[in-house]
Amino acid sequence: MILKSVYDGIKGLIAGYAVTITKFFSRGTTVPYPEKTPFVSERWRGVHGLFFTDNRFEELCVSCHLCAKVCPSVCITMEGSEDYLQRKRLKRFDVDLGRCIYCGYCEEVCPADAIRLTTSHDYVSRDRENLILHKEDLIEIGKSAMRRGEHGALGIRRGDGKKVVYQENRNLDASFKALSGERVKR
Amino acid sequence: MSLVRVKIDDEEIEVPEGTLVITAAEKLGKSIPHFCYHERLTPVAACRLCLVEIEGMPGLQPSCATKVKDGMIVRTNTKNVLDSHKSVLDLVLETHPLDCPKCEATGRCKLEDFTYEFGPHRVSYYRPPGISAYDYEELSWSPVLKFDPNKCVECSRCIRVCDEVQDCRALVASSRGHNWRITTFTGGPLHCDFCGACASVCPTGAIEQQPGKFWKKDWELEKHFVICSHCGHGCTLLLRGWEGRIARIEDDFKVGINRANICSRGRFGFDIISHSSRLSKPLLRSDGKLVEVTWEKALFAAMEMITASHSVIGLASGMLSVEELFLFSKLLASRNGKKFSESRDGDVIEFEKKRLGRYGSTHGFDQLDSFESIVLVDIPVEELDEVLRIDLISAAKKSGAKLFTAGRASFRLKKRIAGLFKINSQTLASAPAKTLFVVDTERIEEKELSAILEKVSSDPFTGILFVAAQSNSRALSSFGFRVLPSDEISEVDLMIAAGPLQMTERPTSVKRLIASASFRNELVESADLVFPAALPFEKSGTYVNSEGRAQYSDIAVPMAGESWPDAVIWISVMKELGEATPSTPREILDEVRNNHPELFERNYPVKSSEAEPKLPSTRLAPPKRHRGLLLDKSEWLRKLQEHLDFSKEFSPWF
Ligand code: SF4
Ligand code: SF4
Ligand code: SF4
Ligand code: SF4
Ligand code: SF4
Ligand code: FES
Repeated sequence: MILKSVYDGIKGLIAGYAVTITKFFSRGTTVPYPEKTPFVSERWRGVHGLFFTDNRFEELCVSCHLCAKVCPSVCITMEGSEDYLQRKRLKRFDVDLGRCIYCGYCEEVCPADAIRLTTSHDYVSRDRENLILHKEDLIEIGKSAMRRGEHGALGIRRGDGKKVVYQENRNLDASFKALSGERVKR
Repeated sequence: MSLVRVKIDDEEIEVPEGTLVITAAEKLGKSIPHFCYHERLTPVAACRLCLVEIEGMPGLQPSCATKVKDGMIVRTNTKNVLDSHKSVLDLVLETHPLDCPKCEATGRCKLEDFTYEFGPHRVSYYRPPGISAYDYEELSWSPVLKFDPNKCVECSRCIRVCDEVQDCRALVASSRGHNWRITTFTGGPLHCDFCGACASVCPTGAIEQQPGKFWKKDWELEKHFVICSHCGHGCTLLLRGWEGRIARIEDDFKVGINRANICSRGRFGFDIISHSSRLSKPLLRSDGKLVEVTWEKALFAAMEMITASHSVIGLASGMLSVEELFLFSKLLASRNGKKFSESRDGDVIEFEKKRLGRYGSTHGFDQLDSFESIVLVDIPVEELDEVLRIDLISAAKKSGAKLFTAGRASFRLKKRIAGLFKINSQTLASAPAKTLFVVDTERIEEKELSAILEKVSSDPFTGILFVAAQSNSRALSSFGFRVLPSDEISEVDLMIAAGPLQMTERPTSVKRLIASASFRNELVESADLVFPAALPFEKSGTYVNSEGRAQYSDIAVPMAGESWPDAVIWISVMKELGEATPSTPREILDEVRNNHPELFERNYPVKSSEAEPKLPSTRLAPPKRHRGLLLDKSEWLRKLQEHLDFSKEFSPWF
């Protein structure tokens, strides 16, 4: 009786160690962040960026206030003004990351594809004030995302079947692929 | 007027004879799309958007130009009708730039709304993006108005409002057919009254106001009803702003004595609030120079100056509210000070009390149409009261009232003057029945005129309408402020000046000068102590317009810098002096009502819910939507909090 339970105990111990030892010698599944940057899906909904035209010269945003309107956590505050060509442009654009729930609605609603969620995900601060991104910060984030070749969480998507509406600043090849159902390669 | 029954989509309604079908449908809560129809304008039935089916009439009929008949059966939701709406909108959208996201009008654009509700959600006439149908250049008509011909839907509302209501005819239609286009009379920049009515009635974003352009969307702007204090008419303005800044002034047909008419001062004059010469801190003269001091110090200095002076006089502006003038007169009374004003308007309350035995004009601005003839007694109407000119024109046009003038003819009304009138002892005998005398309060003391007015007031078929230049001349007169004699201020120790004044230099016979002012000017530079005062929109208060109608104006924006309303300034000074004073708005108003009931005699409010001037309860209400940690907002809240702290300490005005 006693022998039987000792035998069972040892058996269990060996089985347990077997798992531990195999795992010890196999490849790990976690990433030693922050020494190593983890793999992030290209559709990751991270910190917002304000994107530019492909020559990175002109803002895409037309200051339509739709992102501020659609945002469910009311974290976007903006003001428009007139630029040197009498066009409607952004004057102030604040995103409060402390309130943002990274739902991506702002990107989805944007008629100019100006605000997009980038893969940047390590935005931390000890100060709440720093969690409010202003226009300059968002432009910086957007430009660096453009340098990395990102297109935002939704990828390039435009057009409605028959009538395809392209904008000059778009990468046409990628758009065609997106429309024909192919996954966008970045 | 007899009532007729009409049936609209199986719902019956009784409306007065002569009502338009579209108005009857509106009363039932049915929405019929329309561009050219506007409640203030004559129907032209030009856009064909409002077509409906009427039993017994061939085809579709424009509901904006068809009057109801008894037993009429109207259908607004058959397939035929809805298809017609759709195709008309489709045709309009063919030439439209579809720029809604970056258009100033989104949110209040009728084309947008009707397309959403009725329209084709995909246009049939496809144009590649970036290629406009017309590609007209956007025009800056003037510093306050701009025009984008591409967005015009050719409804002609702007032409009609400028012609019919404003009587300016600055806008015309040029060319015909596809090239039909709104232009200014000269084709170049706009030369007009700049009332902004065209921008207000434009259903799309074609005509827009320039100030505040592109700043915020319509749905983000708050709404506040305020009373204009630039003249004696007392127009209600709909102030649209956000976080304490003003984007534009709009009008509301249903609210206020002005029936959506606003003059250029009221419409575009709001930017004085953020003028660069606004005073933000109290100033005290030390060593010959004005230096900024704290409020405590300033109030203490005021107390010292007042107690050290044997003779005090006060000079008040007619732009202050009733409460403020009352408190100022109380302060002067406690020091046996003489009360003066700068107003050109006569002592109308005194005159009414002594000669007429009643208070207020016999008829209001909204009752002009009930007279057959209107006599303008030597009065420069458009200089004194621009909206009264519009009211007179509408009375002359709509109800056929004849305008007569006695004395100077108003330049803008010249064309409409039917004849001259002599003010003498036979005047009344020769006056036609149902006559209204429009009287400049400056002239009421004149012998012949006052004799006539005395007679008129007992005649049930004639009326008197007093017109004053300043927003609170009646209160000035009621509290005993008399016009400052220009030459004879004998040696006085102290003069206290309250409110916006025209006086540019300190009278030499005055030893010391305390002023409450909002802007740095010559008078302020020569004063010994200056209190920064809040402007209208930044403070609440009651205004009694030239008819005698008391109206309450609410706070719409926070005060600039450290300025205080005059009421708070004079309460604090009195407290410093150890005088008894009412300190809550309710107490002040009650005291004014008890001591000066004549100011509230003709309180016939536009909306019954406004019978009692309401008190600023919403002053410190938190913003409606919490928007997190945004800096500007907290800055604003901090300011409000400061005022709250102050009110605990000094006075419970808020
Ligand atoms: S939705 Fe896009 S274009 Fe519109 S304001 Fe936001 S970022 Fe700008
Ligand atoms: S006028 Fe109206 S429909 Fe036209 S672009 Fe502006 S908002 Fe859109
Ligand atoms: S601002 Fe007034 S006067 Fe000038 S064009 Fe428009 S409606 Fe006419
Ligand atoms: S400018 Fe505006 S009000 Fe005038 S016709 Fe065009 S759409 Fe109508
Ligand atoms: S008429 Fe007088 S009260 Fe009316 S908007 Fe013009 S200035 Fe203001
Ligand atoms: S609104 Fe009736 S035809 Fe234009």
